[in-house]
Amino acid sequence: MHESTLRRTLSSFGAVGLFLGGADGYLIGAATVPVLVGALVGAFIGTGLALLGWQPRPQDEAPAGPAARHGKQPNYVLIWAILFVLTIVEVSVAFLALAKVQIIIALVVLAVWKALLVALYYMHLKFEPRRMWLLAASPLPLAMILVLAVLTEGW
Amino acid sequence: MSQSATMAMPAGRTMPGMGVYNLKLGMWVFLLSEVMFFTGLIGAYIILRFAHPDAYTDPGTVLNVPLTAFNTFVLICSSVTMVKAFAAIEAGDQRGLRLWLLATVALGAFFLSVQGIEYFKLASEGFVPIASLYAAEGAPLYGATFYTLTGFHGAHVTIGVLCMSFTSFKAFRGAYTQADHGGVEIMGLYWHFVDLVWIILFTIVYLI
Repeated sequence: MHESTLRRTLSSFGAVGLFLGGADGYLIGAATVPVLVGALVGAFIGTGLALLGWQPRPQDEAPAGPAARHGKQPNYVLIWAILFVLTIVEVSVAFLALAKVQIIIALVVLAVWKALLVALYYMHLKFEPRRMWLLAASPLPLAMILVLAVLTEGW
Repeated sequence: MSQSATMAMPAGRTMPGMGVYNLKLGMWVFLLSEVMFFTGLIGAYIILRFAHPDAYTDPGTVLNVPLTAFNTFVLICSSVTMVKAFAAIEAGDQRGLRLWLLATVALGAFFLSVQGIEYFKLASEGFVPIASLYAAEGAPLYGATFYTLTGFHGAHVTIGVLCMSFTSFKAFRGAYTQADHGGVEIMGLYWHFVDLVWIILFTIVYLI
């Protein structure tokens, strides 16, 4: 089989699989709008990623690894300080006299912020080729579908 | 090891495919499967918590938030020491690599010790994953989900500390060089991922 045909076939399988995954999330959570939207958005993004990742295209021209950082290291201690501050903010927010929903939203935003800092700087994702970004983002739509599905289970 | 062969990537040139060396690609794919592994556990936690809100207490009632916040800080510090080890070998600093790796092993072991003490104290207060022995506030479900989530993470840290000890051992034998240090980088990827998972778990298990 020609290489590009093989790639397109695999992409189609990936797209169908992701769409079924989205539909599955919809069924688990009963007929609720958030799950439907989440599943569709997830399937859409996942499909886009599958297609982008598999289409034959020229090598990324941007340099990777140490070259992308021009031989310099990012300011790891600064990132550490931000993480430290965010942790303190998180613990404080958890005990504020706010509505539970507000606290949860704030905490999730802060946790995602911290997680992104670790991934981008400590795991050097910021300096990887674009294809690595696509790879690293690939489970996120699936994770989103699952979380949205279980979040809306009781509604 | 065949690391030198897979690492052979002249500066400024990318390999075909993902544009990274094979060891790193393999570690990333493994970590992405780990994302789904923890998503499954977190999904189960969310569904159980929504279904049984009374089984759970307000943050700080049963669990010791200050102690765990301190432990979170320890784990974040271990990520810095790990990345410093990587920065050291990237600059060809063997002594720096060894010292920062040892510091990371020590901080990881310290995190596990604190978690062990936390488990011991919680268990002595009746907060256990066994329904018939549960004596704390809330319901046995609380204990079950708490120990499942933090236990799986703790297992990951334990494996990380063991692998990191091996990496340190190799570092003392001079296995890594400025041109070839893929082992340190992928060890770091795993370690930072475990830290990242803890950031999420600390938020949803202890603070929400």
